[in-house]
Amino acid sequence: MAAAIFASSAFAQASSVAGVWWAKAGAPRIAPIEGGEPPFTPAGLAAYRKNQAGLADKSVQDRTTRFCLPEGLPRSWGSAYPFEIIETPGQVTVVYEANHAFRLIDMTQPAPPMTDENREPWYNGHSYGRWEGDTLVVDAVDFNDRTFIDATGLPHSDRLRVTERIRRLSGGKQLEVVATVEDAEIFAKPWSARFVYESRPQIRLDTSYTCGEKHRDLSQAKGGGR
Amino acid sequence: MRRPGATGLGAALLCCALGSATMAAPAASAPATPDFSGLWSHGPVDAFKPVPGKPAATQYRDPNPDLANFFALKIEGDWRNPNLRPWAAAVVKRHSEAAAAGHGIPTPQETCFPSGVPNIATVPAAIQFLQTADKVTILYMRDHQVRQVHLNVPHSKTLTPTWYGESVGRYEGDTLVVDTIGLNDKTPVDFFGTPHTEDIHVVERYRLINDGRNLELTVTVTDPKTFIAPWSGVMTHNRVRGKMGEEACAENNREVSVGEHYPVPVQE
Repeated sequence: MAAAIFASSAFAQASSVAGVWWAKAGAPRIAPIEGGEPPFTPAGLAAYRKNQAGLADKSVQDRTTRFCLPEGLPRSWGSAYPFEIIETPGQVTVVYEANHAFRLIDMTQPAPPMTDENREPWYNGHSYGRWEGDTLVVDAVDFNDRTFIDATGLPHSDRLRVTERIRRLSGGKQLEVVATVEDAEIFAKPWSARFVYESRPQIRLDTSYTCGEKHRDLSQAKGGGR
Repeated sequence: MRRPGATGLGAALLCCALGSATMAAPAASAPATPDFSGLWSHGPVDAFKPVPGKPAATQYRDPNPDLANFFALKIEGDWRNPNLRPWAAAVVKRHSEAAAAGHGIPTPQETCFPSGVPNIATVPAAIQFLQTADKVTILYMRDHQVRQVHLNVPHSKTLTPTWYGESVGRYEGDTLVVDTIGLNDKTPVDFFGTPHTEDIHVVERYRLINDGRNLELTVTVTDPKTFIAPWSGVMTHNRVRGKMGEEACAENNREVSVGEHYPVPVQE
């Protein structure tokens, strides 16, 4: 265990995605990189249409937004607020300012096989990471089915698996996250969404975020302000 | 990724960190900076323990409180604490009498609002310190609350009061010293409902004791409008094994709160 921790730690010093990052705009809709809608199964498409209609006529509630629940993945990456990636021995932590949500990415072991016996479904799943060169690759598994994939009601089942490839771009001024979504109940094949964030070293996370209260001025997202 | 043994209140409060991960090994070479890695928690009935010779925090009315009362959230503080200003003593009395009557005034923990400082230190759930060069990030399992302590910088000149205010800090030998101001007055300082004003100034000193088996927190709270003199108290944390759990307070997914249910914050 100790060897694994120090090995990953030493490697993490060479490759790092640590820092405060902020998208120029939030992503209420999360779509495939190539555009269009995700490759739904018939059941998946029916579930999505039902959610869309329900959110429109308010027969379906977006509980994530209303009660500030953990947003799940990849929806967390669509946040309009900044987030910080913190690297410590054996762990990479993502702290999302929105709802002060955090994810602990275990860098000491690969994702264990998910069986009916060992499941503990979480909103944000359980995350296991490794470095591939300068890219942090995270496997997130064992989700509950209480979140949407995005704010438009894109559904997923509790068989969701999300693989994130996270790396710096533009000499470190930007961060790219490519999230690949697999869920055979909802999608006919895996699909990937891409997010790009700006490095904002002068920003301090405001961890006093409280559901329903006024929070940070989002016009600062485009740069300039603190 | 292991099924929790139990999700009842007792288990949630006593264990709080469930699963299979092991603790990170201590850093091999960290000459000046203490290594607080791993998970920490403390027992459910902890008030801030008095520091000999200094004014104390509010204590239990009953010096031997019944654990069952704690689980029933019947937590009665001693409003006769001589360090409380009259208005603050009246608030503690109101909380205590309501608890005794079986309808305790809910704490931030039951209503899913942020806990504030130093109240968050009284919450019996796992915490983790992420120590990096320019800051210490403290993760709290209870409703995934987070604080960041900015190291070796002064406080901002102007602050608008918030739930967590502004924390700056430094290492003094084996001790992490955290200085917090800019807090709003919406949180109590403890489980007994002891109030504070926006003038509150909290200094926390964290250090390892007992060969690293425990993490000792000593808080000193200054708020002349509430307390006659600054008071100090100690909260001793134990190392806990396992993986920090995921809590969604609004859905009470770990059954932290039992019995009465309160309205929680919502976003329209």
